[in-house]
Amino acid sequence: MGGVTHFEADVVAAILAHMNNDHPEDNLVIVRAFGAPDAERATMVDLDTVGGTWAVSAGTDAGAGSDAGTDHGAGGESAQLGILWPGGTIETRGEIRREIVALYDAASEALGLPPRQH
Amino acid sequence: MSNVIPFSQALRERTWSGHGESEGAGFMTDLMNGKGSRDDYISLVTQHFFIYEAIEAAADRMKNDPVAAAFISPKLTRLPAIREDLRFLIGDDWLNQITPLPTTARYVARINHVAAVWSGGFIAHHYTRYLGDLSGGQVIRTLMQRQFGFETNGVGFYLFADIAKPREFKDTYRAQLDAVEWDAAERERVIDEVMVAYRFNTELFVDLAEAKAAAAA
Repeated sequence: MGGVTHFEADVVAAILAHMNNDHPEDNLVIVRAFGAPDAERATMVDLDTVGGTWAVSAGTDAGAGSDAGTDHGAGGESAQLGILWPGGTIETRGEIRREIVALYDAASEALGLPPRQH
Repeated sequence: MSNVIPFSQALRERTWSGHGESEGAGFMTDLMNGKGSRDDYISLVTQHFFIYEAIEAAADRMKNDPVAAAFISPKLTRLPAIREDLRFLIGDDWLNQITPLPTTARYVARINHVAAVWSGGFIAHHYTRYLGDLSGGQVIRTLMQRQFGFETNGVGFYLFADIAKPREFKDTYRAQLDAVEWDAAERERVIDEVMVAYRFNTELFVDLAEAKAAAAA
């Protein structure tokens, strides 16, 4: 198992911009399935060869937050959620999209959403 | 050329519920995030058995239907793999040890009722299950293998040995959906039936969560 290696900053920036500008809902689906079920907002903030990182905030609903699945407490606070690439550690930038799509597809299945053409 | 959007696209857009159903999703997401047990996974496979038994019996009845036949492929058939998975997970006596949850029983009744008489309804249920298995199911398999130390035994359900390129298979499937000559009213009926199928799947997760809670109590 290799350690964490970072991609070049412009590669990361381009992917983050694409995810946050073109697929904001996808971010939310992914974080809801992989650790932050009560998330109301999600922004992808980083990625490397091991996984992606999302900034997640729950709603302001005071009744939420009892779910043991959230690691970072709910209640409008923003927390960071790291999710490993499902296919394992990757090496090339070309693999990033595949891994994000795989996360999205798995999240859709778990949340009872229709599969989507990518 | 008409500017009517392809049926597969309309289907996706109409069945898109935003962010997913949160109720009951905890069962699946816990399982995917390492917070579920091997027994939880067995419960899921068990319910798949009843659902695919119904869908694949329906496929057998529909194999000569002029519309439905195009969607039916032995490459998709899941029941033999599910049987082997359950034998591996539970033992040779697996069939005597499993029962359908209430939602599964209703889901199966719906499949039996709808697919017996209506090709569009059959396709709605077929699409909902198999395209999901070919999409998210593939990561779920990886996660289950990693978590429970499975190789191929136990996760045969997710292994489509005869479909080398799931993405191409799905693209062809969607093209076939777009090619069916349904009128607008029939398209609506099919979309409605897909939504019924998704509802069953969501309610199944709720049932699984409740059964788990009851067993722990």
